[in-house]
Amino acid sequence: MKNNSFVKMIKGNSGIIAVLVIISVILSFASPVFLTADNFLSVLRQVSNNMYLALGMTLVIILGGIDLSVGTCVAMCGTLTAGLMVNQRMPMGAAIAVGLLLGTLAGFLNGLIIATFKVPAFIVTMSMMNIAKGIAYIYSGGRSIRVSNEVYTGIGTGKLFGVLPLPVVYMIILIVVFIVVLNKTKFGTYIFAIGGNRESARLSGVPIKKVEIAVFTISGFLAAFAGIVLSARMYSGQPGVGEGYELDAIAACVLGGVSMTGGVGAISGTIFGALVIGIISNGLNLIGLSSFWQLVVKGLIILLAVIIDTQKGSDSIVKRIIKNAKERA
Amino acid sequence: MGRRIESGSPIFRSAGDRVENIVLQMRDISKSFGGVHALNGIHFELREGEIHALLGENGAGKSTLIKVLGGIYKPDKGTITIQGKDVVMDSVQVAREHGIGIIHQEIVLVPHLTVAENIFLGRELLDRFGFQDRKEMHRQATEMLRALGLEFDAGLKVEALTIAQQQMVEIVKASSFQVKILVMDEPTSSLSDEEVEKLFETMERLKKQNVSIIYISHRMEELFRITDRITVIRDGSYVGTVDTKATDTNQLVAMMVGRSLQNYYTRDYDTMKEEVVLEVKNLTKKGVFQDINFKVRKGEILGFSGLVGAGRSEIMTCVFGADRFDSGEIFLNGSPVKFKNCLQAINAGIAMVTEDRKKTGLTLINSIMFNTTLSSLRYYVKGLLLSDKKKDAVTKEYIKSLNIKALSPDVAVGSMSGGNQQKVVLAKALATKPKLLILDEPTRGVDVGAKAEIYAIINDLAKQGMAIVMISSELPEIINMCDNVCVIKEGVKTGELGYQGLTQEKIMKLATGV
Amino acid sequence: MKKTFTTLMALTLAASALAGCGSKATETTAAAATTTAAESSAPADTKADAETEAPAEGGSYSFAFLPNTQNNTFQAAMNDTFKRLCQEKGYNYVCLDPDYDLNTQLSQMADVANQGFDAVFVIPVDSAGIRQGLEQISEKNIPILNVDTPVIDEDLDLVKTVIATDAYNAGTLVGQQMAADYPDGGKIAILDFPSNESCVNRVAGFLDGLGDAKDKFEIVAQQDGAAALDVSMPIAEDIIQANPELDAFFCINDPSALGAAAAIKASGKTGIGVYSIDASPDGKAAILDGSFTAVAAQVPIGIAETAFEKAEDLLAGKEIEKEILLPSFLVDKEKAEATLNDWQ
Repeated sequence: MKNNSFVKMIKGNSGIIAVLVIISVILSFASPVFLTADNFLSVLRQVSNNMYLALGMTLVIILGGIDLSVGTCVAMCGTLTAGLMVNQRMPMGAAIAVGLLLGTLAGFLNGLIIATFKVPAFIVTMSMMNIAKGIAYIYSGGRSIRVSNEVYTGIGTGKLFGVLPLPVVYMIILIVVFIVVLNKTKFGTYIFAIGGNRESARLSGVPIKKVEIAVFTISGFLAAFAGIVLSARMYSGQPGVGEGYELDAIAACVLGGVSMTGGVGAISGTIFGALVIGIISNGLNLIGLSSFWQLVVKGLIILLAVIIDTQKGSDSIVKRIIKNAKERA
Repeated sequence: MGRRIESGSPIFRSAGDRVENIVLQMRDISKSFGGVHALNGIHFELREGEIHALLGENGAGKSTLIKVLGGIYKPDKGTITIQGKDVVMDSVQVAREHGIGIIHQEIVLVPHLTVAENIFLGRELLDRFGFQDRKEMHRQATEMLRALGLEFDAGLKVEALTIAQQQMVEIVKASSFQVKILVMDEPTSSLSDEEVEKLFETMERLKKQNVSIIYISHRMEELFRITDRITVIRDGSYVGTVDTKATDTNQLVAMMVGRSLQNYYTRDYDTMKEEVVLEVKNLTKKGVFQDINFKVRKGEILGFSGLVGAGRSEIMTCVFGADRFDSGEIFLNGSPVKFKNCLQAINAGIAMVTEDRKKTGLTLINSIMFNTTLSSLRYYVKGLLLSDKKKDAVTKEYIKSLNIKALSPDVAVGSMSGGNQQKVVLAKALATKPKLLILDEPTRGVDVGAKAEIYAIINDLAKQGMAIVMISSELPEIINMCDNVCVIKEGVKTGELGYQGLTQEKIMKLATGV
Repeated sequence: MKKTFTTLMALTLAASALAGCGSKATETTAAAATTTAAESSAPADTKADAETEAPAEGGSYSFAFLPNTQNNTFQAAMNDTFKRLCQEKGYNYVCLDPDYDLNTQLSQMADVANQGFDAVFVIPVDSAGIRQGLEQISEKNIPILNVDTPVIDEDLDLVKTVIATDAYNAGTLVGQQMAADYPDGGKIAILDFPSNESCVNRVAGFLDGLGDAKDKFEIVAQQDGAAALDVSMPIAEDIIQANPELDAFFCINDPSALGAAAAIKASGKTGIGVYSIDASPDGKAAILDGSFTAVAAQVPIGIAETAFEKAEDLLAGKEIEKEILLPSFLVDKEKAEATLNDWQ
């Protein structure tokens, strides 16, 4: 049974896995450092931040929504948590609690407005994106807030057993939790049902409002969590970070086969998606490709990966070409 | 003239005193998808000015055959002859050039454009300055509408038309391509009786203009009314072609399912108990329905009849908590209830099979298991998590008891036939273990075999003591299945009839007030 | 046009009212659309500074500051300085933040031109694209003092003066310091920001500052760190991975240098030097805790003070120099300690 679902997972993600393998092979030839354990951990650490957001985004997109506010929520929560500790001399635990609560609240409001007033998620979360950014700037006056509390910075820079970076540990825990939530709970099933056919879900007794609010709240919580871990890694609260993070998270989902129209997707896909994005950045930096070229290469690879992924079905162009060639022969 | 016409017969054949011209001949058509034979040596022949039904259960291969004719699929084997000439039908363009027009089940007009704009979509008429000549398009469109006896304005936006009128526009659009062969795929499935009449009128007119029509429908009565000949296919194979006048329902059903169905309807009229499960008093939703009263007892099948749009479904969605009502009371097992949402209704023991399984009944991309268990997840919770084992067991149980044709519970319901989909919707409702089951058009778009099975299941449920409400537009179904029938006309209950001495006329009188 | 503008003003006012600084701004609605010179009230904008003074008596001036962003302590320090000086003299003062968006800055410049300020201080978001805005302000005979990032040569006629830190000089100082710290040379990585003219000059100055030792240094990586911490950090991590024998980073500003420092800490390596330009409060703290090796100062407060003084001179009819480059200096631990929480 277990083996079976593993095989299914590999099959379902064959396209993106192929991309991941191809890129990895090319990069391991191009840079001797790429395949080292050190670099592997480094990639995982870099991927972790996007992964937190992408996990929440996966639920949101399967639900049929979108959350554009996560990027600036990262900035808002990181900046405020740092600021409350440094400026207001709040105890660390309390500051973190307030920071997490703030992001969760932002997500809750997103969900509440979307579910109650039926405003498109795109509009609501775009507004929240601006509000969160504004709050970060208002609170900090645009200045970064340096944190010297080593316990706090340890949240982002510490290592488990002196090896595994803590952000990676959080990432693994969250992945496990999300896989279970999405596949093994009523809540997870309801998300698929709403995204697949909202009206049918309603008539099947799915509490749509509650599920919607919960999903956006989770996304907000994860943004706050990402913000706190990132600020710990940066030794500072930076009000200017986070813009565009939401797009990276969406890209990870889409690369992983989560359908933008809702109802379809899996955590495993998102994991591979985030890994591909992370490995591209890492690899191109290792090679030393100019950052301008990196943008082009990244864009092309993402495009290619999505095309390969959409073509893996029975009617794929590749298969048709092969078939035609055979017929001619 | 024989009852069966074999394939490969001569091109000219006498019928009455007229010599029929054969416009289309499809011979020995085969098509397989990855080893599965969708079509296996099918024959089909169409005369000029004839309405020829293509009949078969869902999944028999009707759509595949139509797609071969329309140039969407290339057949593996076989020939297509049009007006005596062999044609390689390898693109939609070729099909169109040979005068083949196809009207699909789903309407594909652009709602925001006018009737005229839709008819000329993609080949707009231009004036001498190269701008769209709206006047001329409007004029020609109006002409086309009138030619088919249609009275509405070509300047109306399509979204303002009724479904039936939209279908007429589709027909006009198809015939504007100098169509010689028109394919209509279940055109009446969403039409009211009145609208069906309109459609038939239009078809008769086309026939007089020497257009040949291939007509696909499950409704036997319609076939007998409108068609000249009927070709039956089963499991991708050709069964036979018969003259409509020389056949009957039993023969057709036998040809379709490969055996004769002794009892199409199954109903034991002794299942009704005294105990009232649901009682509705003075239920009113302003502008939709007023002062509706009825009772459903244990083991009773209560029918709701009336014209489409009379408010039957709306009454039931209000009972089910899916919609709000203005006043009135609902009692379940004697105690008053008012549900804020469907979840509360389901938890209280009510289940509903909705009217449109694709839009409101199922998530088509998900599996049988997902859909079957969605409403009853509370039974499969183990601690915080769902038990896949229990879900699997329940799904397999229903696959077996409802005879759902599927290889495994993981098959996506979107890939299944209408009858099997409908059984999954039924399974979802039954899995909640309801005391009251509401069925809204339980056999719409379902083929004969599955229909008979569904009737047997409904009868079984009533036998087990379930209270059942059945909304249906098919009068034979109401007459043959229900203990009592409520007739609704324009939101008002005009009468309640018992099953004894029930006739279509009695119901129609109450439904139309004539 | 005027109608659109008024509507826009009303909208932005509503927005700023929501943000909690509405009371004073509301009074300016009517005035905003008109263009009476010295009497005009402060303009309002989404990001307009809330602390605008009521219009001063005759003879006082009103100044506007148009930075490229406020999301940086550098520009914030300049804003603070301008604000302080204007308050002392009772002048009217407003600061408009385009948040690195050239289009926003151009419309802000059009607004400023219509509101009749006495002088405008501008940091271009992008030197190459700002001509239209400069022209609009000049047409109203409002003097422009270009601060920090210079306009391109072709546009020099539109500004009265250019006042900036000598970026090249700052780079040279850091280069010289690195050459002294690594007499035998070494492998270095550069985090630059090529879309900013001043940052390009810093790198040029740095390379020249290495002087005769230049050939002993090998640049193993040069990447765009976008002058931002969160962008620079992962890039620096990858550079450290790819080059195990890296000796030092040169970063064009403090945020990117802080990113490099965080990456070094995360990698667990020691002995990689971090050289930066800015000496922001954060940078000074980094010098004190040892995460930075050396940092050359940018002098935003100095620039603001000079610009303010020159604006007054100009309005008093005096001639001013066309280019004023304020020298940089290396900030050591002592200097860092002395002005820890401020710029210079």
